[in-house]
Amino acid sequence: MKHLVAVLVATSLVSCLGVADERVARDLAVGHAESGAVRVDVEEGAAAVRALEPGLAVLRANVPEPRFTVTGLTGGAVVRIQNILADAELKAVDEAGRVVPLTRLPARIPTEGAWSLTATGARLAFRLSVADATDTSPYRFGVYGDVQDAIDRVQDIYRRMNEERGIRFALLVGDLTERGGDGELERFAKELETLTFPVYTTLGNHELGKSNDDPGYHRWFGRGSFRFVFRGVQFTMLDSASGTIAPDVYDWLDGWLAEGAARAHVVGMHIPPIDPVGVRSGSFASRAEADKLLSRLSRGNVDLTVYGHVHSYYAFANAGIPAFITGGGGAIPERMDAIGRHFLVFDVDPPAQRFTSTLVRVDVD
Amino acid sequence: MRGGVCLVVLATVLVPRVAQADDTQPPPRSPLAIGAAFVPGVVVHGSGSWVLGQRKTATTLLAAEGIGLGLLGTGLAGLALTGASRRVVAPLALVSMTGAALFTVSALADLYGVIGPAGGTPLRTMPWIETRAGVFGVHDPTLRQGLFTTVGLDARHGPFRVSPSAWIGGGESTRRLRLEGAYRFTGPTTTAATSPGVEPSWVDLELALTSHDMRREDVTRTTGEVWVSGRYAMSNIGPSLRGSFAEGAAGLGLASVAHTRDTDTDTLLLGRFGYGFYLGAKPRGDVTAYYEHRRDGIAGGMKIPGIGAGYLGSVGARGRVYLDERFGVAVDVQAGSAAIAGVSLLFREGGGP
Repeated sequence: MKHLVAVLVATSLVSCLGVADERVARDLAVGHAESGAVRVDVEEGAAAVRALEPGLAVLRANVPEPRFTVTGLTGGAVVRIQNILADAELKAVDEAGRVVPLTRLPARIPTEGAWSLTATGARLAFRLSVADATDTSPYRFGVYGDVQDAIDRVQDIYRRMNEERGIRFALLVGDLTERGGDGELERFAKELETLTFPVYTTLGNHELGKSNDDPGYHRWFGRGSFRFVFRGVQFTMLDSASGTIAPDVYDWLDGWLAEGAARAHVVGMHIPPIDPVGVRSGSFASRAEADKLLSRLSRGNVDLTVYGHVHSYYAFANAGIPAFITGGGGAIPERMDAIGRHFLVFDVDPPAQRFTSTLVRVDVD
Repeated sequence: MRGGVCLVVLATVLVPRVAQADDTQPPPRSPLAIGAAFVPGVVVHGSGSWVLGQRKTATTLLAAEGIGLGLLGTGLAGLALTGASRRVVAPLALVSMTGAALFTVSALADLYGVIGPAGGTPLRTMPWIETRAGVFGVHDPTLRQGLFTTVGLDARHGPFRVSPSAWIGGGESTRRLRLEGAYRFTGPTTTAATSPGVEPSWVDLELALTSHDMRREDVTRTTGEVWVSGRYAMSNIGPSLRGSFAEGAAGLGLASVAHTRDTDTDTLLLGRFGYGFYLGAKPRGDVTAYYEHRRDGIAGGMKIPGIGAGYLGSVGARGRVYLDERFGVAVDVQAGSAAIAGVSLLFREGGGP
């Protein structure tokens, strides 16, 4: 038996079985930062801490309504949050529950907010809130993926997205960059500033080009696996960048599926569990794991799945769930498919748990 | 690369030529040849054989490497240029896999030629029945599979073979049942023996039906497959490769995946290649190292760190040793999404040297 265990351990080393495990630790570290006396803790890692100084905290939100606490801010301090809904408002209370006055500063771009306050160093609890967060009337959101090395042309897509009526936010299903370096991630974040709505992202395999275990992605954009609820719809994003889901994330997912079972529920990730062109296998490393994941999503009453990775557009169904692949962000396209660069817009009717998709082509002659 | 060529030239001058053309008998082992098989042999396949004086073998292996690299490059370039288009991805992936097979086999053959054991003896006729029963440990952190018991048999009659098998157990309450039928177009059967002194090669057509049931997850995958598979006796290339063989197989699968809410279909590109050698002067068994492209088995495909996630299958090795005419032991290891190691007891009846 000891020999069998030894052989299994040796074989495990060859096959990198825990290829996504380290990124779970990165996910859990997102939103927690300390600099001198200042400390920030974001609930459920819903925002990445981009900068922290005695008088300044800069966060990048990856959900519409992040909550966080800050300790150690003193004097005239500024809290700046990137990637927010333009109508989002920040509120703060002290440890006694008293409202702390905040003054909104002039906005540089629609998706960034900055608020000034007078702080005493005590622990303050912040909540970014949106007026329509609980409104369950129909609304729209976009989905896109796989920009990679086409960053120089990405403004074509953003321009077209801004023209699209009523998009509240977009989901980005991975492969923001070609290799995942800090320079590329910074450039990607900069290019996003022209959009009039926020983009909530997960990472793709191309974000792992510099490091599999510690990609810069988490420092810039936040968690790979997370969920949020907005206007009666749950959005769950999973880190499938290594063609697998880390075992710990399956445990999280079980809870998220239970939460979302009774409401409209969208699940997004980069690498699809099953490639609709199976012989290509642009999919999970293991069909058995893919079947397991899809079975769980199906039993969890998920209403829509969205993926990237394949540089084309596919509409299909997996395990009875409507599924879309949208890899039209500009990376080397799948030829002979007559699709080209594109993004998707979904009209959602939350009470009816109904999603209607629109394919928006960017390269239209 | 240039350094590698220089090393081969140097070795050629230093080492007395054992034969102008390859002898019919394997040459004696040479430490220099072993070294050459690694450096520059890793890059220039056939280097070890060349230093050993096996010029025909060396040039054949080098040619195989070149063709392999050409096919691999062509396939990968085609995939890149077409963006892995659904219209051409299957043939391009197959070309890439064939290239990888030629590259790998030529490298392993050169190593075998200089460091392999004295060539073992294969069976000249096939057993009419072979059975196996084993225990496999499966370490799969994602599926938490655990221990499996496995049983299987190969029943042959002339060129026909029927092979039912089962894997049962695992933390996911997995049951994988497989029924395989095959027809041998050429090669040894229960009644047709290979000629004396000739090592067997064969080509089979295989049909298979596999049911992979993960009861804890309420999902069953049923796959129909068609394969063309074969084994090639490497002694056809040169005497230093006597007792070794290359294997290759390619096919397509169509799967039906039954979930709680609906049933999906899935297609599979199937491929496998390997290199092995026979054990013992009497037919004692064989050892094979292989690459398995399919990702729907217990092992799944390798989880590659970084950008290349999801495109590769698994690698493995199996060894079979018969302790007498009938009874033997098999050892298997495989690394994909899961790490697998197992031991099986073997029984066979019929077949002979």
